[in-house]
Amino acid sequence: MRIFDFVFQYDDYVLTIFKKLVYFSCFFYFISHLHMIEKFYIEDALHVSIGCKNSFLSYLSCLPNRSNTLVAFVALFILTLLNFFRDTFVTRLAYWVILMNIFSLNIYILDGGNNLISLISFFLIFSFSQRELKVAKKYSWIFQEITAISVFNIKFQIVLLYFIAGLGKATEKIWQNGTALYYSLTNPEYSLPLVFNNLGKIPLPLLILPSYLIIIFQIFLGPLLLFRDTKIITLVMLFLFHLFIFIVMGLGYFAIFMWVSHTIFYEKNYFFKIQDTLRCIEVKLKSNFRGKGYV
Amino acid sequence: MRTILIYHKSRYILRITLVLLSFSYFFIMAIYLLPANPLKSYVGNRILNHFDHIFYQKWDFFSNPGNVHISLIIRCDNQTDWIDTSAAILSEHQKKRLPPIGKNLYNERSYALIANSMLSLRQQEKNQSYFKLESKYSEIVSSFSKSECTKRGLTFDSGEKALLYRKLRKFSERQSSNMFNSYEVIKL
Repeated sequence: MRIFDFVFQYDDYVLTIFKKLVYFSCFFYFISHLHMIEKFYIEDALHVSIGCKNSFLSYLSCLPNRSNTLVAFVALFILTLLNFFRDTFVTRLAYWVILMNIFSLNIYILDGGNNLISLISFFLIFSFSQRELKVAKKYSWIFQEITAISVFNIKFQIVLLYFIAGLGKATEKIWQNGTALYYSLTNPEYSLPLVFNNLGKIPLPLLILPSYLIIIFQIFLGPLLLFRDTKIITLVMLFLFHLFIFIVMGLGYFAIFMWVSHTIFYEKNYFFKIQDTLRCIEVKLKSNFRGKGYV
Repeated sequence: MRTILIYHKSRYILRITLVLLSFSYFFIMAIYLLPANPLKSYVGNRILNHFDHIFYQKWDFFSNPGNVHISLIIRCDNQTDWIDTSAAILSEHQKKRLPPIGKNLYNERSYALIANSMLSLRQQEKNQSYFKLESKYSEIVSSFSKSECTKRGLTFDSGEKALLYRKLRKFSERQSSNMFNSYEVIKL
């Protein structure tokens, strides 16, 4: 029994904040893409070749089409608000089905962030809130155990993502000889003029060594997050890694979704520390404004 | 005492069941994520197709960043110059990193990728699904080219479309001021 104890432990405070962040980030994503709903629909190779009506399970991911994409978007808005303020098993299930459908409409504009959020939403279906546990009364322990394993699965899925990404890199020649970062940053689509015009001026070790460090970091992310001593520094490194992806590579939503997903590894006191830091910054900014006579 | 024992026993059974379910999910996921192998092809058609639809995941991003930049270029009716359909949005994306410009860029870029898939498809064996896919891709790219010309107040009845392949400069040429070292245009 004890061997599974670490699997069945979770903090409800962290889970609640994580859920709200997931739903809020998706809401923000869809609000900022309202103007391109029509463009979301490109019947991709996957759906054409396999066919959507082979079985009930495959049909589940082919619900919207060009004519009802807007309906799917509106349903998603309503479900996001419901989940944000008062989530239930049914709303979470409906949310996942619609989210998975919208994300499978146009595979060409998707990134890893969309993909991960869709998978996380599946595990979130089984994450019951304290309010739901109270309703279950004497059977609440059953739902508590299900919630705990779904939290563990989310964590495992995130670690798996980095592990597979690291392993994929390690097997590629371009990463083995350390030139992958150079080639990623030479592509104007994933770089900035300031970066790709000055790549020749960067000292060789600074251009080569990060490639190897990224592989090691991604493969060993799981063990690094397991120990409390290395956890904080790993989470800070992850934040900076995705900040680089956001600013230099221009994959904004990928970075936002990844930052949101990392919060499942946070501990209660991290949120308090972040809150304190933000409050300190706010006070400092206000005092600076007052000093300059703005307020 | 008996109730406590029953509680512990049921909790134990529940935990084992949940762990086994999670283990099965991640075991199938591991097979799904592995490179092609006999086990994968055996399981393939039975289970993995569902994973493709519902639990689709692909995490090898940037494992091969590639050394070619592909653009869809079009020439509207009565025009002599080619237009790079994603050039304007790419330059906007490089100036402003805030969303959703990035996604708009990938949306515009998706048409180049679809056209590229169409070209690679033409090199494969032709069967029924080939014709279905090829006509679908062709329709998407044509309607996009038409809308790009209409946006500029032009028509696309006898216009042309092509893919521009630009090879990125090699690592050994990183001091060079040219971003690309060779060009190739393939008409669609």
